[in-house]
Amino acid sequence: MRIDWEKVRWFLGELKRVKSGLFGFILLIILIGLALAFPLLANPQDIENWSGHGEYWDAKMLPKLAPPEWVNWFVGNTLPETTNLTVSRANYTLLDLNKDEDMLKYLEAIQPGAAEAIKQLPEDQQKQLLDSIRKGLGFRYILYIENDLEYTLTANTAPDDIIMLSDLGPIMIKEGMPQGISIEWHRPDGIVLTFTPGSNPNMSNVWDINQYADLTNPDLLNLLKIPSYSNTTEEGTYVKYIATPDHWRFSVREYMGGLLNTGNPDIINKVLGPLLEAAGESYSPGTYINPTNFIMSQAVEGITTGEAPLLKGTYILKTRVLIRVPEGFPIGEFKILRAKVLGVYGALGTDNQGRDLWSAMLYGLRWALIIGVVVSVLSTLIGVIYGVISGYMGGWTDIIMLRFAQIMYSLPVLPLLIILAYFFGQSIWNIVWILVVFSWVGMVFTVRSMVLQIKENLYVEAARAIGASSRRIILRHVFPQVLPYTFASIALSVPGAILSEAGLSFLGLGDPAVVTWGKILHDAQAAGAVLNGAWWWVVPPGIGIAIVGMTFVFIGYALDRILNPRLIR
Amino acid sequence: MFKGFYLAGLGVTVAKAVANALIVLIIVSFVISFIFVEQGDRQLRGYAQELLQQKIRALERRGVVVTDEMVERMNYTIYRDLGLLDPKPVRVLRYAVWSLTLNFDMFHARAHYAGAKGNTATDVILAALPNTIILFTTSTLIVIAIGIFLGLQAAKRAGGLMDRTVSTIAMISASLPMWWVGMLMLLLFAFELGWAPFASIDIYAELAALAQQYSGFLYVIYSIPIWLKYLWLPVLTIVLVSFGSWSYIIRNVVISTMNEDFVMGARAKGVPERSVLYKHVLRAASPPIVTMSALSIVGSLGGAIITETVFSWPGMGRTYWVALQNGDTGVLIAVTYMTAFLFVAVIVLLDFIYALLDPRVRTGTVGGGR
Repeated sequence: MRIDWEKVRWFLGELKRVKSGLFGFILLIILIGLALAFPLLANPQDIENWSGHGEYWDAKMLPKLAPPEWVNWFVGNTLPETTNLTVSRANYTLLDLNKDEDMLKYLEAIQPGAAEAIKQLPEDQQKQLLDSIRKGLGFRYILYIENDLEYTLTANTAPDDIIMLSDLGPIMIKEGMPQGISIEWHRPDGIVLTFTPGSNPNMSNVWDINQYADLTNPDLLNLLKIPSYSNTTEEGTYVKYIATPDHWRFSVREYMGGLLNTGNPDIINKVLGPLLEAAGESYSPGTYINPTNFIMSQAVEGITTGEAPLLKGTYILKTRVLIRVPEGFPIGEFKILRAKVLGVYGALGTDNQGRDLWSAMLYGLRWALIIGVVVSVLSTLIGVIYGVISGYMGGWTDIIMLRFAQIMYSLPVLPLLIILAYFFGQSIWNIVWILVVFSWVGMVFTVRSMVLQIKENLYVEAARAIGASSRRIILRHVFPQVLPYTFASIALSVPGAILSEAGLSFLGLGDPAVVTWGKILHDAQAAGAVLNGAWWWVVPPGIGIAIVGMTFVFIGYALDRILNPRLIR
Repeated sequence: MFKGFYLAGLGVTVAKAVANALIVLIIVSFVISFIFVEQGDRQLRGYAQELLQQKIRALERRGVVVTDEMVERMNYTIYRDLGLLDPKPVRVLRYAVWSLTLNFDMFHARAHYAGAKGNTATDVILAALPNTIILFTTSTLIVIAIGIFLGLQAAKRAGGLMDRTVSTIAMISASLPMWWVGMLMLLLFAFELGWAPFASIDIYAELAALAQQYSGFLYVIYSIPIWLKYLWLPVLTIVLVSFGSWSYIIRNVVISTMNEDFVMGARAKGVPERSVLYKHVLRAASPPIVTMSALSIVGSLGGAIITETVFSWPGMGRTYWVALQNGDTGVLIAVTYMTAFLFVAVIVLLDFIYALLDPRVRTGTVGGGR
């Protein structure tokens, strides 16, 4: 087909006069641009791993149900942002106790003056003494690691969570050989909390195992959610050990939840005690405490209920381990891989699984456009062809075709749509075909009556008289007349198609593998987003649907006015 | 002589409409039955297996030793009760006939439906249908009132500010999913402000509590605030989303009526403009408005599935949704068919009323597409 530039120019000139149409076309260009630029503006991997890939999202460590970042523009600096915490390694010391020098260092550390006293002894006695100590220890290496995570709170509310992802390495569990761990929360006001019940918050000697909580204690492992394993080595010795093959995730929120759930006042008090004491409050088991709010509030009355004001300033999450490694056991290392403070996130926030809604929204635009355009183009074409044939042929063909169309028109669409989608909706294209089946019929009646009028025109009669075939008459004389009406109808039926697909997806009848706006809303409804007030999860998809719909409505009305001037009243 | 012609014309028109409706209903019932028999077969077999296990467990709990023969026999009864023994075409035919004769007692509900008195599809529909009618009739009446007022105002000065506002609202609301607006309303009024309940299904509990305290007239009086408490938000949502397009349609109907000669005549006689608009124009424009209202109410009987789901309003839509979630074939067939039936029945009724009123329809000079 040849493009008639004269007509295009005329059309553009007319378009300038219909402001809403111009607006619609500009919007459409922007929308198409956004849909095409999806890989640049968002992360396509997010979409590939959207459903059923929890590990992908766990690794991303995004906050769950976090409002978008720009919320702060409206409410002042109220909500903390999601920030990565950098780990500053404070100390790493590995002592090989088979070396006299390291042994003395260790002894000196746990008992000042000991090294000096031993050095006073004669050489052979020194050796004897150290050897006998070694025999009693039962391990060869001793490893002390201290990591600091610093966070400065400037916002007016506490962050949602603080998450630390680390690799604990293999640590042996042996009767009579405690392994030390201490996770401390240093507050700007000098109060120190410990997340490991049993460790001394104000540690005076880092080499003294008694100041630590015992990592080999199954209750503590449970509380911290650290897995332990047992294994039989080649030599036949039974080994029990701690390892974190998938990394150890320490979330303050989850940890506190687990702690309060134990219902053990003794353990709970060991953790919350210092702060409660300073605030002059007590904790009654069974009541809810907002974890991050609690540990970042001023030590005054109302700290358990969240009424106490926040304490701004620099906090330090300090982790220490004192690990004893027997001969032949691998020397592990406590490495913090990543740490994050979770607050507001991204352009559109996240859902309850910590998925970035921005990626989903932008990707959903693609499908909204595809579904809307494919369904409307196909159904309009089918309807027009059907109407033209029915109207032009007349006679029995017309009667049967019209009757069939009337029956299709009388069907209750939505229930049938839902039933069909229920059985065949596992693929997005099936849904597209189902929508086409139910939306072509609306076109037929108008087109048919237009064709009935056109058929009576003299030029059609003339064409017939000179022996033109029906095909030629339909293609040369009838179609060109119906075509303008077609364009407007295509544009005007786009919103309906998008709304139908969104509705089906919302009911959970859509393609489970494809992220559409309806599916986002389905997930939101299923997760009780409304009950949680997660407006950023609910509002954008609907606005997206409305904007795409309106774009096509504007275009449709404009086309109608430009191409069918007779219809203007 | 004219009277006989009149009745003959009317009879033909009505007969045509009824025949058309019957064809539609037969097709719908067969389509629904076919889909469910063909696709629901595996589901039903799974359900049969489940029932068998339940029976065996119940017997074993009573200390009965279950033999293979007994299992065989139980299996046979279950299959017979579920109609699985017959070949598929027979089952399609049976479902279709049950639907066509509105014999919903034959369909058993498997899931639990709020308010249903028994466990047949009839009970389920009888519990749900009134709720839907209450919700949608209320909203449609409000929408029509607003629509007529705004539509007339817009038509009075076509192209004026009012007209453009109405058109814009119509364009915007045509692209808004009603159920999404419902979610927003819940966010605002239920979550943020706490003025409305989250789930309307709780109305049953409140009404039941009330029924224990009062009965008769007092019960009716005291139940009104409860209904209002649960109704206002869904009604507001429906009204907000639909009033724009209604005003726009009424504006169009009124504008085309205003161009007719009798309006000019009335104006020439000196009838005040207000009276022209509300008495002459509105009266002439009322048939299409009545049609639209009837079709809209009927269309909503099954069509508001998603909106009812969002508010958990215990009507036909939510019932449909619960049935879908539980794969409750019988209820699905019954509700779908019932919706289609009501839809078609109202169309026939409207055709009949028009045939009575409109001489052009009566004589069959107007036909074809709608």
